[in-house]
Amino acid sequence: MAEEPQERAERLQPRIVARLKRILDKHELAHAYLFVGPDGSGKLEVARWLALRLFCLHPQDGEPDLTCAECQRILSGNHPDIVTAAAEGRQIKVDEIRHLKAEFTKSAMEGSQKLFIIQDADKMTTGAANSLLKFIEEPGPGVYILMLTTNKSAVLPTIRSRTQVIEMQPLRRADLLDQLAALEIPKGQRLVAIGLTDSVQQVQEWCADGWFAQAVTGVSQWFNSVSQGNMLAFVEVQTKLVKLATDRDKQQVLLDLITLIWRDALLVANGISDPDRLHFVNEQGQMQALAGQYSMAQLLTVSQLTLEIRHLLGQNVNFQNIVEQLTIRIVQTLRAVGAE
Amino acid sequence: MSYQALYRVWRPQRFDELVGQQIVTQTLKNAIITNQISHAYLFAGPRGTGKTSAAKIFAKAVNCHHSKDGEPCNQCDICQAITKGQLNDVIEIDAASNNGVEEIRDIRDKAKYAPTQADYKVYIIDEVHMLSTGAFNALLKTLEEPPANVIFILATTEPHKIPLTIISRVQRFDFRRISAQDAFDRMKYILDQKKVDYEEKALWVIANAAEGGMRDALSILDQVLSFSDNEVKLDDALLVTGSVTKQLLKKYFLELAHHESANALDTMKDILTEGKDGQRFIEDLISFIRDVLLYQESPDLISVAATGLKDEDFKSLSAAVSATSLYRMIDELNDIQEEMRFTTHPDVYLEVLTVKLCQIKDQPTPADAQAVPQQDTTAQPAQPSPAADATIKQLQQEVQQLQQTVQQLKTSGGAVAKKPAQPRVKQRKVQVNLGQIYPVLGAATRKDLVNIQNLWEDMLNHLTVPQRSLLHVSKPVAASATGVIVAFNYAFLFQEATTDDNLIAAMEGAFQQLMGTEYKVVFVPKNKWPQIRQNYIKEHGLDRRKPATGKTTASAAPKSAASQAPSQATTAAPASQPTVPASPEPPLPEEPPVDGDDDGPADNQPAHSAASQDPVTAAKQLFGDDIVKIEDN
Repeated sequence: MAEEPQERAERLQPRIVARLKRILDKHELAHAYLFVGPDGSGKLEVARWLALRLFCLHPQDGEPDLTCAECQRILSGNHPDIVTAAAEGRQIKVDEIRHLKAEFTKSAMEGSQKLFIIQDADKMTTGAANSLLKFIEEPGPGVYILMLTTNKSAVLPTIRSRTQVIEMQPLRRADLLDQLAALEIPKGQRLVAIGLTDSVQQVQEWCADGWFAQAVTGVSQWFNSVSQGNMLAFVEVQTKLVKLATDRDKQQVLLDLITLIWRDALLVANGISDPDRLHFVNEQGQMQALAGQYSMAQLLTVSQLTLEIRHLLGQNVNFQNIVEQLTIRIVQTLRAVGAE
Repeated sequence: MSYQALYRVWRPQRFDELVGQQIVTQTLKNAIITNQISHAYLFAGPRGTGKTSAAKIFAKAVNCHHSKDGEPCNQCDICQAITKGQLNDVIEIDAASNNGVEEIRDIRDKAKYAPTQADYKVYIIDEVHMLSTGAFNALLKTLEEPPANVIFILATTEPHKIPLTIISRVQRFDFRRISAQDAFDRMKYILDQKKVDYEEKALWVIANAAEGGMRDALSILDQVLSFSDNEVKLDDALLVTGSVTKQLLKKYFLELAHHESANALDTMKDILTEGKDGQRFIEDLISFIRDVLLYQESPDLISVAATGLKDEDFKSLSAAVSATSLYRMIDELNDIQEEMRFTTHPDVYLEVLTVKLCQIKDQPTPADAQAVPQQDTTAQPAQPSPAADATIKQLQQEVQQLQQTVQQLKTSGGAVAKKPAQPRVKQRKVQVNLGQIYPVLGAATRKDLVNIQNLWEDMLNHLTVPQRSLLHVSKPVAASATGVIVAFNYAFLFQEATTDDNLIAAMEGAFQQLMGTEYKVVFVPKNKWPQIRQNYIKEHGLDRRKPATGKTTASAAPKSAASQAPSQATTAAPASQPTVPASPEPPLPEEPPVDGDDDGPADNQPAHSAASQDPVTAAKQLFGDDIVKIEDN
């Protein structure tokens, strides 16, 4: 790991860490927290920092020393009193929660504190979430629960009301860009990537084999044809986009790219030309032309169509079907209103 | 003792302390006072409204020997043991993790034994909606007639998931959402007890953000307290709840009202970069619009103080937008709120939403016309005479409107009438490039055309699949030594092809390979082709030649052509095979009149009717209608 975890937490979420420090100083740490923030906003880092801080034997100035036995064990992920759960696949099922519940009923192995970290809390099934309710409402002393999620509204409301919700601060756009620049990711891709995620690591993964560059060009080309109302875009779905969408994650990224590029078009049509606000800067000229060519209502309808596609993928609709349907509907929208 | 969350410390211990559930608590108290305790209760209601607390208080109240007016004393051993959760006779079960038949069977068996310390054995089954069907059914008999001194209290947030057979065996109490006012008062009480300073506005923000859950309110309050040293500040409350200030909401709303989409998007960007919660923003906006709407109806309907704005603000706000627009805004917001549940990119949704809300304009005529009659129909049965007047007026207005529209239609005339007939797909007017066609036409010969037709399939094989499919319904109609004219059956495909430079280049390349000479490709739509040819003939003076010199050829050649053609057509395959006339290939310019004539019977073109119908009718007379096939080659 390039950076020590507590430094990363500090750098990503200085305000949250400062706040937690203050809470710890006053001994007012609540028993359950829900950390909400997009990928890469440092939820896990903050959780890890809190773990170190709670268990460290000789904290100095509110920071763990990272050298004591406890810290070492936490850093290597071997501490018996820190229990973590994460989604395997798309859901956290009741079975996976079961060992967690067993742990809840036991007191700490060493010392008097126990920390539970549940990643992707929104992916818990209803059954799993419900079976945690009673445990997180009134746990015994020294038991702390941290739940991490990207989507607060997907967490059961009964869970939410039992926790203190802490929203991660969004990262600064300029900082992210600098980091990506340091990794030598080309400028065009950098701008697009930050529209999709806050996680530098994630972007690095996408860019590793040039996939991201292809995806961006593929979507841009598709956009250019489809925005002209050209049905050849339908063919491009098959010849270009489908080839790029090799697994589910990549399908999602492609759909997000499509949503993003039309969002840019909508913004440009609304008179926002500040390149800082846009992601597909290379296509700006084309978008400006679109603004003159089509009415605002048309662009709005198209943007709304693109918003639905992620939802469809979530319902296990085939990727190619989604994009082809979208293409046809966009072309129809753009042509139909022009005839009036 | 480690720190305990506010909602645990301040869990109500008496019925009096349960906020906002007077009806429920009064009923329960009365049941205890008059000693009419049922053996099974169901407490249903949203999260944080006091179901579990009420169940525990009830367990204390029935068992406490010193209870007064139905309230537990909270002093005696039994009360304290129950509060600590140590009394063996009050059993709290988490149905979500003990949801099988086995666990219920266990309850059933143990319920048989009399209580040990207290008077009543109380089973509190929390989250009861998670029980499996089997478990519910196993519970049925016990729930109907449990042993004496056993009380069941079921608590759930989702009463609709509970079988009707269970519900009919219990007394059901519905807990209401806690109003902002009640939550506000309770927080005020707690803070006063804790001796903490607070800003009232901050408490209102928290109370509104809690959405009817007292526990939510206290969780948020807890966080706000941990933010600053024993003080509740508005800024902290806004930060913790992710709400935006009313001033910002007002600014955003006014920008929407004035359709300044760029400004509104800027405001939205500011809100998002501050890390505000999108869901919360939409909820705030909905309640804000609701306030404006209520204020429009009557300023007395809302307590302006609770909203954190001034009276003047509301006056200007309610003047800015009509009620119908407000309704539509709320509809849009509701839709988006539903969709946003599933997304991890709320910012895009919010931006689209902003643009959409800016598009909402007052459309008084259609909206009012719809709205008013509805009101009338509902009002009519109650008070017929004034309503009838209103309807008549309404009808008059409508008639006027209709007349106006009719006139508009008349004035704009043909254009409007044509509109619906136009296809949904936009007809882009791609101009036929006459400059390219005429040179080819001028030098066109039948031989070249036949040549091209023979090579057509080979040429297609040089193209990619999508290009080939485009050309599938096209065919060459004229060719010279250096160019070919290709006609498309459908205008749509013609447009596609003309705008596709790659296709043209590929076709020209293919011809060059096959023929060895450079070839130009020009496209025309098939329906325009005859006209183009005639225009060409007119422009180049060929039609003048026709009546003078060409008359004989025009009448003779076609006749032979027409008389020969059918005889071939009967033997040869009909459509695609070019029925080559026996007469030695006439130069193409001479042929058009024939084709024009061929079209004659169908189009009834007056200019040519006399001369043209001749050969065809003659052919028809000779061979009969069935055999003669008129082709436009």
